[in-house]
Amino acid sequence: MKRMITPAICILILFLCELNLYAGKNLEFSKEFALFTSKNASGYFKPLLTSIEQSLNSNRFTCADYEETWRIGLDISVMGMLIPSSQNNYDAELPQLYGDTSVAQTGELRDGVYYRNKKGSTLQPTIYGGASTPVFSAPQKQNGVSEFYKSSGFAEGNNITFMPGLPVLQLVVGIPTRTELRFRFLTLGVAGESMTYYAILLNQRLDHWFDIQNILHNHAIAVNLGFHSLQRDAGIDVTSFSAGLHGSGEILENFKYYAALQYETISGSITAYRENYDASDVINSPYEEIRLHGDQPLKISVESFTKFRVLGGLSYKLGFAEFHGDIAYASQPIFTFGICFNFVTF
Amino acid sequence: MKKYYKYYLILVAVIAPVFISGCYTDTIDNLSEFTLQVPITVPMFQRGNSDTTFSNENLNKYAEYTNNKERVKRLHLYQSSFWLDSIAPFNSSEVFQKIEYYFIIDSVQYLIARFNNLSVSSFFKIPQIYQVPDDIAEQVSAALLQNEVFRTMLVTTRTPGNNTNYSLIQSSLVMSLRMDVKL
Repeated sequence: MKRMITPAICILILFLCELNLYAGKNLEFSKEFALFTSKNASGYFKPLLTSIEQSLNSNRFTCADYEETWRIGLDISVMGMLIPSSQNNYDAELPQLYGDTSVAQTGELRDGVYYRNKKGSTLQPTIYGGASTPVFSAPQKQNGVSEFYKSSGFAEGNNITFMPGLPVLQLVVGIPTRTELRFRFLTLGVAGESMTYYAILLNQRLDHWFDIQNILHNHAIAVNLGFHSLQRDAGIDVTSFSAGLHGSGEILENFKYYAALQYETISGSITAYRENYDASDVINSPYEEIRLHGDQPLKISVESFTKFRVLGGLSYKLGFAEFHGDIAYASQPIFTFGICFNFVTF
Repeated sequence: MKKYYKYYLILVAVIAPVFISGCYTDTIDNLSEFTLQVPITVPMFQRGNSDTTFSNENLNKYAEYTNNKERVKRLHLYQSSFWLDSIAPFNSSEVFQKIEYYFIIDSVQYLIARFNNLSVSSFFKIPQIYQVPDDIAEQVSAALLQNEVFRTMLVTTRTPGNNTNYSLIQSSLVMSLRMDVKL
């Protein structure tokens, strides 16, 4: 089995290290995104960022019965998420003086109902939603601030009900302290500069520290912690953290179930400039952020709808391969499937 | 039965990634297109006592369109809105029996907004909105992709007995266009 160490390392190098080196460059977004303010971009993309966060915090573990051995393996997993209708819309920010009828009279026609002079926000689709509703605005004066308060259009969604997650390839290392470490590392070229993703995930069996095997029988309990970092020198600064408890038990020989409760979070920002910025392109925008500060970057706040997930799954060992699949209830219900190849155990 | 478990598992292991990768491809295809709504405002001026106003338009006049035109795959007229900016003489209680906007392209007229029995006070600097029927929207959309030059026509129908001599009717027509952009 030890002969497999070299090929395993080669596979890791091939799959995990697509290293690209570039000179520093700001992220830019193309002109079709010029209609977004930072707040609206954050709301529009939040379900997609939730899918990404859930992907990162999936396939963190399988069974909790970590043994007192060294183990080196490679886990490959795929997943998919069901998008709930509650994530199809967000409260889009309206231009500041909409609702002030001395500046502009506004109206929107939504499902046959006419709404007038809304202020603050209005419901619009996220990237997973459907058609957006324009807000028509009649400026009340031909000059002064009124002339900027023209009609507003919004981005539409793509009617997505199922979203595949990011496939996960990770190095799995078992330590005789009944500890399992998982490592993920990837660099990608993004807009002329390398973006680096890494994750360090820890699973530690707990039950052997306490005299509770009489109660647990063939079950095991472990704690898990995870940290993810996604960085691009200019533009992307995202971190994610997860923590939870998981346990497992044997159904048949080599056939086990596992379950978990996990807390997870993501934070950070994505900052991008408008491509080929020309003030004349945004002079008509009713949004001050776009009209007056269009040369400043758009800052998307990275957040997730998901804070907790409850998970249940099955695992089957066949030789040095462990097939595992689980279903989790989270803000986007998620199912995952993967294979862990335990190349070396000693 | 038990001895077949491993074969079932291997089968699932092979089929599941194929299934999921198929879904993955479909979704990536979906996300590679982006639809935004762009309101295009067409000013309409009518001088002299006429019930019909024309405006010659070219989509290339509008930055919202030209900024994205190279990647536009589809244009779709979604809603249209209009309001009066100015009318002389001004009488807020005056009622128009019918106000219609037509979109004219390649000599074909499409009705893109119609309002009945509107008093001046109800649409003087107040947007009235019309949901363009799907069949009209599809025809206008198909024509716009072929030809960026079009005309708009405003037709006002007065109530019987209204003989007011309007020296000016200035209005705004806003067409909300859905643009599918290939990223």
